[in-house]
Amino acid sequence: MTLHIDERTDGNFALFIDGDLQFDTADEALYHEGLTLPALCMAGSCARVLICGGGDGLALRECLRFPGVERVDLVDYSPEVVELGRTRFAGINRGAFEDHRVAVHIADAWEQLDTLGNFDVVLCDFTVPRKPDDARVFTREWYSRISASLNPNGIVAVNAVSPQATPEAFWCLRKSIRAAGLNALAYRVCIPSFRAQGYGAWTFMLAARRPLRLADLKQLECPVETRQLDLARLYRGASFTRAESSIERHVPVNSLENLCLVPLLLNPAMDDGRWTMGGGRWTIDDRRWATDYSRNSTSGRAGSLSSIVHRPSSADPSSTVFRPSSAHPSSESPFDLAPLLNAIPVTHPYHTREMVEAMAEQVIGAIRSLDIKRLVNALLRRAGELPKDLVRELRKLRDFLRDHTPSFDAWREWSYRLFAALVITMTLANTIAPDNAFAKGAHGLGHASMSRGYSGGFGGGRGEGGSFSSARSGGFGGTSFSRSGGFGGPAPRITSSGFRSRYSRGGPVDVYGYSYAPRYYIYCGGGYYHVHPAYQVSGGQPAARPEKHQALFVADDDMMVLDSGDVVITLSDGAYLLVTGGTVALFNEKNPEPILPVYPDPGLFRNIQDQVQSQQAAVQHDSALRRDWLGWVGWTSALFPIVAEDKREVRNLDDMTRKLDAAARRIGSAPANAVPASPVTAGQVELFVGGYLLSDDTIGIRQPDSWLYTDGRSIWTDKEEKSKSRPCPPLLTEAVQSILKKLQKELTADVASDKNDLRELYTDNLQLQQDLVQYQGIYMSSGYQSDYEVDYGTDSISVSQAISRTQADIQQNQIDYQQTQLSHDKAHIDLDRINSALHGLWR
Amino acid sequence: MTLDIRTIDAAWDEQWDALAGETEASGFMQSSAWSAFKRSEGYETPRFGLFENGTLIGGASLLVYPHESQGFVLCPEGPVLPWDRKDTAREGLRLLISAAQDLAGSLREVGLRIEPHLPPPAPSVLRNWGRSPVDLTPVHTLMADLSCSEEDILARMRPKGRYNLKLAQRHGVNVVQSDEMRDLSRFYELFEETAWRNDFFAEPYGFFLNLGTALFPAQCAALFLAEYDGETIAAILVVFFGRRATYLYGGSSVACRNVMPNYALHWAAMVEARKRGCREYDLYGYDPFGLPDHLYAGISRFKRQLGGARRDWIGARDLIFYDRLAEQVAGRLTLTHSERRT
Repeated sequence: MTLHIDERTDGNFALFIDGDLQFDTADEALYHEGLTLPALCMAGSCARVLICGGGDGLALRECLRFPGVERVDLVDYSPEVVELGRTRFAGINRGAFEDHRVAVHIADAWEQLDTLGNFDVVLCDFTVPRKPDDARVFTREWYSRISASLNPNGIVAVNAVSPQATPEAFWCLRKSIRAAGLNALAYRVCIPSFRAQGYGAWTFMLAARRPLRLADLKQLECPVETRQLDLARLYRGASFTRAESSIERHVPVNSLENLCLVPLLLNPAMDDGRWTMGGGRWTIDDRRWATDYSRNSTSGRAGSLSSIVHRPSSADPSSTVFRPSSAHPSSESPFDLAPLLNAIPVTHPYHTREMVEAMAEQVIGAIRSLDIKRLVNALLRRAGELPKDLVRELRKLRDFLRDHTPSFDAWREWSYRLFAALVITMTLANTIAPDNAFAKGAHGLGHASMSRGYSGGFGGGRGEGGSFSSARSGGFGGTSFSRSGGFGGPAPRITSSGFRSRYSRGGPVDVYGYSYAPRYYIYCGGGYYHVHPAYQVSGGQPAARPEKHQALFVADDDMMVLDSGDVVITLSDGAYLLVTGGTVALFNEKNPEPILPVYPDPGLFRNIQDQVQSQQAAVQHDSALRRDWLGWVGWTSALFPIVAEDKREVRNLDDMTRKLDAAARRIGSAPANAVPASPVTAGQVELFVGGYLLSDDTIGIRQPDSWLYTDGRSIWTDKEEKSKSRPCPPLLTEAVQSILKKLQKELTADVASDKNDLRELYTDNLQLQQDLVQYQGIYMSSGYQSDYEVDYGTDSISVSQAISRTQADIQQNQIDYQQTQLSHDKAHIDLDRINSALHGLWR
Repeated sequence: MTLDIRTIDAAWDEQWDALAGETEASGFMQSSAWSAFKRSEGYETPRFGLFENGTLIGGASLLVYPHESQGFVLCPEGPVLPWDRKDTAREGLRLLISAAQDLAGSLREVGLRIEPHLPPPAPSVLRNWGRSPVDLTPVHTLMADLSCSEEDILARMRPKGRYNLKLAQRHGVNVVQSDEMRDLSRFYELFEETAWRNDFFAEPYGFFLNLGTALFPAQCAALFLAEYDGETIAAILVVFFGRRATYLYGGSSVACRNVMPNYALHWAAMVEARKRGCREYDLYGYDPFGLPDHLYAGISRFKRQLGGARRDWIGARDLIFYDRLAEQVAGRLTLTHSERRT
């Protein structure tokens, strides 16, 4: 346990245990008066009090000043905290430990409870559990034991959790208390220091064998004065809406068998029934998952997971050989993994949903290097524990793997159920250690941008052999919004990691609430649904005055929604596309007038609308949380700046909602008859959606009704002869140059990274070849004994196995090399084309 | 050669730290102080010593995070092995696997993950180890040589780096070195601001409280805070262990960037590292390719100015315990199946 006292220059200080705030002297009275006084007031007698936890002595202080208290037993397992209570905190707990009425027990409350006798008041002042084992003292069993130690009119007060930041955990706790045969009454208290830590609205829970009513809180008569808590208004925090309290019906009871409180604290958004408890663990409810899967699957197949696992061979329905159906997806039509990624729970307080999803994507790549044959054999050794139909499938898979090495995509398709269980297991195994979320490797994990929308499908990547040496390997990222093909899957939903938001910080935010530096664009707007009448290529005059607009929302590094409702897609430092009213126009940042119209590609509009809708949902969720909070603490805004800040934040959120609604309308959609762009042909390089570098270094831009071409000096369309060309506006030339330079930089990096991978693969291959020669030599010198034992890494296997494994490694290495070479060559060809253009026409 | 492996307790701290600290392929995550930090973070930290004819020649400080689901037995920046003696390394690694499997048997972990700082290609002894999905430490880094004189260290910086350092000194940027817990909040404010600005996941404040509590009293880490005009405008946290000092965390304010406080901070940290006997300064991660999406895209340009040489590591490697993994997968498949039927 780590104790830290955060001293401040104003004389106040705060105690942190294992990094969690316990109290801040600036407002600790709110907490300790809130925990103790209502219980003491409502108990029939308060002669005997038990405090479980609370070694700082602050709840003890409140008890000792309450009339009628004859004896207080305090049980805390931490001698260090109690020592601080006796020394460093003696000034603020008023020397509570010196009082003759106090008996201190340094012990685990769980172990000690039954030895202490009966009590009128029990205060459970435990820290919020971080590990499942810590949640024992929040279980039904614990409260049953407390109930047994209560005197007839006795009452319990429990330090609960936040009903806003972690609603499922809060209602689970209430349900657990009620499952122990106690009545429960919860009330919220606004504790600014907790709020500032992102803990959300705080709650205490009263419990007793007798009924507890809201009216009891209204009629509190307290014989001692409070320093910070307003007891007369306490009841205002005890009302919950029907929608809130309905959560209790769906959550499990926290019991010794499941210790589910910690998973619920860590997964506040998993309230959709996708996960269920069973056998002491969380498991995926695949009925729900199957529905999601069939709805979202990019391959368009309907059906449950079972149908995927059990689908008979298309070649021979009676065959026992496990083989792919003719419809198995290629790497061009990957599975939509979103439902699977959404289903993996957060397991540590340091982690967020986005981190777990980012990790799951990395795991999917690494699963390629697992020895599936060994896993299947190990599973079959447990056949007795497995359902028969699964065993049959696994046997088929084993038989198939004996003679074949299926592609990764193929086995994933054939045995999706095993694949899914493996992804979940391995992702959990990789996220158990809290450090992994902050890994400093070069994979890109640890980078918040990994969390902003995943690719939605595993497209490439390699296993062993230098596959992770670049941030863009593995098939994730690397594409951008401005070029077609970027931005595959749906943006994940926002989850509350506390109660902070950054909408009021001035800069644009993304779907997760991350804020960015303020960004402004100046352009000639044309009003609602405007069509620019004066493109520079047409030589017209601007019809409207330039307007300055601020970016509000970032969907991707390339795309922003402006406060005007228009959307900007950044192409380079000097050029962008403006999307509005179903139109797309190319701009040079130096000039407010549009250069030319670009064809309204339907895919581009669809992606933009998806992003805007995601952000609308995120803002509405955040706004609802904040309104709820203000509903009962709003009146304290004069006292606490943080509450006043929340009021401003709600206004910001409302404003954001209106602007996003306006943006969704204003962006419009592509015309119904619009067709997506054709794939690029040899010699062409896509610069942005609708813009291409052609084989003769001219640029072709797809416009609403024609193609426009330019060589930097002239422009002409496909409807007119090149000889009738007009001068190219210098701003278009500059814009194209800046886009080419940006791509040149990106492709140079890609080529360098690929070269590095190729080099590593080459040296790996040399080593593998050496090993192979050695194994073959051993095989010969052993007199061709195939079972002669040799070292294979840290394994000892037969020489024939070592030879075949090394040969397989060499084969995989060669496949990886070829794939990397392809990627390298493609980037290199594009780079050569761009270099040539920048040295020639676009110098 | 007689090799054996056994648990080594706190009485071995000094010997272990001396060995791990001097092993090039190892690092501070193998230190006793780091283990203490990880214990405060909830990990269990078993440690094994590898003995050759009774002499400690290697071993591993491991991390296991107790949880109802199972993870990996972790060995970041380790194990400590004589990698250049292939047969000894292989036998040592086998003994370690056996010890880890015993641990895994009781804890039900699904594999062992190691992360030695070895240059590619991965040695044959790791042939049967798979590439991990995550590396705790950077795979590409810049290492500044501190074994030379201060003049030589400066001479190896890029001209812009030297210029900016002088600029910071001319502006009167004051660097304060501290291992006081009370200074952590000054550091953290800047770190958090930087994380938001540069778009990376920031460890929570509690992480640094635990880190400081374990590493500061052990003299294994220090904060360097740049002050200018009465304000703290940049700060870094550096870990010192054996032959290497490592720049682990940093943060800076947007204000007063023109006075180049980060150059002054790293120079002060390098000077301090030399005093403590470190022979290299790990700038801890950079992007050698110029990839716009790389984790270190933003900071690589700055780091290059400080004169380090590129070093590549093979990255983390996993040895899967297939029986343990099958147990986990089977449990999940069975539960899913029964859920489906109910």
